[in-house]
Amino acid sequence: MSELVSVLHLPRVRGAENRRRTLVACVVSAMLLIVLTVAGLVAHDAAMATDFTRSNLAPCLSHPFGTDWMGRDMLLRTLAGLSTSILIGLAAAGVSAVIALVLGTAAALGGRKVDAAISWLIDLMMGIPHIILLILISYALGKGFIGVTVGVALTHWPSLARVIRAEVLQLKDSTFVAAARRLGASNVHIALRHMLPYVLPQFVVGLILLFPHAILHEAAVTFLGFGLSPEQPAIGIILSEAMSYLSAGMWWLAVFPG
Amino acid sequence: MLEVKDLAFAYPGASRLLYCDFSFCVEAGERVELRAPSGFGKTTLCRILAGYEKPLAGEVLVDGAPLPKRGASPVQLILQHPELAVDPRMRMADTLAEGMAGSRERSLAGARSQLLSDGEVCRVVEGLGIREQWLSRFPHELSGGELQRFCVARALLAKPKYLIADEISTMLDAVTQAQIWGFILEELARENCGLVFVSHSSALSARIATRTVNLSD
Repeated sequence: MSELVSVLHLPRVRGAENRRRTLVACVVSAMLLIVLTVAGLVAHDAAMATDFTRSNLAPCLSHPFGTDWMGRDMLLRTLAGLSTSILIGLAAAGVSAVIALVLGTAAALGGRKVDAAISWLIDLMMGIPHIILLILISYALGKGFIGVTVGVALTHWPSLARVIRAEVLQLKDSTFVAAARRLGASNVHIALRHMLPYVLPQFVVGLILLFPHAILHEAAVTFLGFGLSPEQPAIGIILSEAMSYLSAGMWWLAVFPG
Repeated sequence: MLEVKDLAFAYPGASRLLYCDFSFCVEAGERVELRAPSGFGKTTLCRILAGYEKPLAGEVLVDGAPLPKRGASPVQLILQHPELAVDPRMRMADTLAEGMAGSRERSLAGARSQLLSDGEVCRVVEGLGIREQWLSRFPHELSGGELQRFCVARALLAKPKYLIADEISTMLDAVTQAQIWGFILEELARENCGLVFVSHSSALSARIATRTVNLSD
């Protein structure tokens, strides 16, 4: 009998174990991101310190990533660059995902005209290559941290918005939502109990996928010279500056940050 | 009295009206069978009566007033497919509590915690043969018949004046059918609640119906 019971409970036990493993992985990666960000913020000033007596050193024990032509330590610069990128990535992905959530839900629930307007906007945004739009927005806002963050945030919401719109539309017309409404459930109740559990996973996955995308675009825009200002340590800046020194044989400038 | 006045209805894109100037009424405590061959709109009429579909013209009145836009509807529909009528991500206790929360202005959390201490819920749950361990399960962990009992319980807990039953027992075996219908009839008599139902079993219809409306005429 007890064996039978344990067999019946096996999937649930396995599910719980799976959940724990996922949780551990999430916590570890979040810790890694936080440590990197904090380390980068702490190293930010040190990463800008120049020392011309130690310029162009190849990687050694005191400078594991080497130094650049101004004698700045590349390990510190990489760390600071990473933290800048993570912050921009987080802010841009977060804002972008919230825009997607609001517009997607509004399109699904706001009636035909609102839906038509938002769908048109989504198509429009998807029709423009977003690196161009991103460069324009960043340039118009005077480049820098704000310019890049706003640029990335404003160009990356359409695909997630479309997914959320589809999900909410499907839920809105589902029989169980109609039944709940006839049983007297309020709009708030339906949104929280019948829609949120379905939209949340899409939202979280969308947010997580946006994060590396935002970082890559930040690096790309900065590399092209339309993003962060050159004195700031950022991966894009480091790489674009390293370009001109690569032919001189200073490979460590590009390899480690890259 | 549940009234349908000058009803006109067509699904979007349909070339002809499914109903045109159709009127029909059910007295309190009456049990009306809807009879028609497939495709004559029995289910559609059920959905219109319960406010799931909006008619093109005409109106549905309960004691002279239209169906309320908010709050629990006095006309409750039990559908043919219970698996579509419950949220697959909610435990059955929460689904059941929805029936109570709407009609009695109670918060859902309150309704859930009082679920089995409420005498009425106990009576309905017992009468329909719902076992206590089913309450903590998700819909996919129950069979169709077990789910249908929850849908019946949820509709009855919302205190309807009229119950619409659209082929609710086609997936059940005879014994379960008898148990569920026996309990529904008891409840209808106690609350003097009207019933509109569709069934393909003539034996069942003969035992339940006090009147038959033939839609194909």
